[in-house]
Amino acid sequence: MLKSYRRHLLVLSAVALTLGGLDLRARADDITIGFVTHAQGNPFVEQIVDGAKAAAADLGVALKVQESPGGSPEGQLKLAQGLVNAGAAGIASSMPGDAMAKGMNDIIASGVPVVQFNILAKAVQGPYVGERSTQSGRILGKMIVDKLGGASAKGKVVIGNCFPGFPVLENRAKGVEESLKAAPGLTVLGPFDVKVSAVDNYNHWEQLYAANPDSVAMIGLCAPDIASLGKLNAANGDKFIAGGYDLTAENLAAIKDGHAYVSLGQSPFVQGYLPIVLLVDAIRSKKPAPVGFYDAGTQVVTANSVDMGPGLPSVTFDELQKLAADPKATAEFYKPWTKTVLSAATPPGMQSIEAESK
Amino acid sequence: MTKTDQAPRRALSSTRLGARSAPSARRRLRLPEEAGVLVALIVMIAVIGFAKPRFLNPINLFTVLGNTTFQGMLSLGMVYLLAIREIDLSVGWMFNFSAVVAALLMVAGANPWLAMIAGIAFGALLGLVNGLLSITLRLPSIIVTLGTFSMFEGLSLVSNNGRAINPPDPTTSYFTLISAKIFGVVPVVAIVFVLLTVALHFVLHRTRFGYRVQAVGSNPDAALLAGIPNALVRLQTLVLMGVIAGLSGSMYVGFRGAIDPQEGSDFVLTVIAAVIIGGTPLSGGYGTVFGAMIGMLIIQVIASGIIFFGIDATWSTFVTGAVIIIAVVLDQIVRYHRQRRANAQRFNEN
Repeated sequence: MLKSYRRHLLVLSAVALTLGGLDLRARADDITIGFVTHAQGNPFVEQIVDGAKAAAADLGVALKVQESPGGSPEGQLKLAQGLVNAGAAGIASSMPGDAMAKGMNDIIASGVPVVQFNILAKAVQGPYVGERSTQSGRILGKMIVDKLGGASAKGKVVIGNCFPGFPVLENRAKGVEESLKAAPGLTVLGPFDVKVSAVDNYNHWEQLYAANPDSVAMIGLCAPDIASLGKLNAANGDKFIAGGYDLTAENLAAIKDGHAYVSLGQSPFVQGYLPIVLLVDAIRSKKPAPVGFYDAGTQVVTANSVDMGPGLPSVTFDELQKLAADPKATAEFYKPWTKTVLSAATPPGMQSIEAESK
Repeated sequence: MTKTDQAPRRALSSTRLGARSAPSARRRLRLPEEAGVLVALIVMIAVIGFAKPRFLNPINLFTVLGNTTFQGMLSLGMVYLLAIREIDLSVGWMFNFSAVVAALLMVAGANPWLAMIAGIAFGALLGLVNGLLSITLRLPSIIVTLGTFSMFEGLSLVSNNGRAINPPDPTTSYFTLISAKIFGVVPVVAIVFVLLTVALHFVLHRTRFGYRVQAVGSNPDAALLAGIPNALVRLQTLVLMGVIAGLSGSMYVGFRGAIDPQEGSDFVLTVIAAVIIGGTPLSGGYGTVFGAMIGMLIIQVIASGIIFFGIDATWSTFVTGAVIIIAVVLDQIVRYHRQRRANAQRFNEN
């Protein structure tokens, strides 16, 4: 009987220590930042989280990460509100919907600064860190047109969007379509809804290919697309040009194996790191974070060339693959950039919010 | 009105018991059906509040209550459906589509209050579509709503062009009232949710329609023999679900000031989970509206507790499921002991 009580006591102590341990880290610093993402277990989003964790470690603040599994604005807003009620002094969040704006502005009005990353809601009164979405679409579209032979290119080009309605994705689609117009012989189909989960995404691309087997190119606007298109191309004898977004390990593998042509990066590390810096600045200076746009940068990667964009060291494709799989190596790669950011009184490079979609 | 009309299964059994002997003092003190889940909810709040006192801050507690509102309303309608042995998988998209229609009318210049009424009426229309398809094709609503789930999704996305709808003037009385907080902490929408819960509890347990729902769900053949028009009651229940989805969706537009294209798409599992956690069986014949409200509160308290404990995002999904199982087990233990006590009492009376 006594043994049984001891065992129970031991189990309860272990549980208490575990919960206490989680909390001790939060108490190690007087600033806790809440970080809310629109996807769970997504490799690209995890790269953003890695950037946020690196910033929290550099700045000596506690970070609480919450991930909304379905990309629902309502669900994500609840997580942000919960973090504020639990004591977070600042919130960084992607904004998968306009319905989040009012709730996030209420948080800002209560004195808690908010920074947006990756997905923008213009109505939110806080800065945004992300790519220049329309411009990146233009770059991707131009790469595809050039690969197809320039202005004389002909044939069907299929575009897929994993989240129709997300403004940044709609902007990417707009940019891609603008560039494709340079080749009047190209017929653009879509954008079609290709869903975000890996299985759904592949199935939708497979069906699109089955319906359009004569497509000369297939372009995805989201992180899972290149991996899906690479598999599809491999299974069908590499008959179309595949292009898309994000430098995840899966996407880079598809490019290296020759099943996909180009992927554009959007500096996930910067999208995670910079919001934390902006929030800590705002909290420590007790001033609201000003509305504005920070361009995280765009990387253009093919099997033969890696363009990391201005201000970052050049790397080979193999080195890039290692970075994609290793958060510590990524943090080390960005060290010169983080030093610049941390040494400045305020992070440099803020533009008007309209610049995001120009 | 027939006898069966007024006396569903549980009401019948208690009447029969009552006929045998005068109700004892102990029976009069019988705990309500929702006692188990209520205990689970209180225990959870107490445990989280003890470990993290900030959780008990009224602002946080009312935020949790406010967060239950929109899915919570849907769960109240789902209680009626499970009680009549039906299920509606399209609730999330009925919510979304009604909200989109209400918001589009507001964008077109309609008075927001009239747009809200139109949103509710549109929800009723969607419920009517589900009901008519189910009855005329003689199909269970789970199959029909599996189809209408995608139909409503597609039509909603066509209506909003895959983009958020933002009504133009969020300073009108509709938006200010719906998003208001009484004394700065109690959301008006939460009060509407609580009032709706009380009203629907009354309808289910004190009106002819409610008795009929439970009678049809308990034994459709017996209900038919007793003169209850099963098809009509099923139709009414599916329309009621649509009305509630329309109300919830229209209020959402007022509360958040916009409706996003995918909002509501993932509601259905949470709604059904809340109803089942609350104690409404999948087998039909009985439902607890208060239980569904408590079930939804349990889900939100778990979500909030995970944040307060700082549990890592990758663990939170597992923890949510595990705590729900613990809550249901606790409820089953309470029910088991209550049933044992009731059986012993019946044995003694005989």
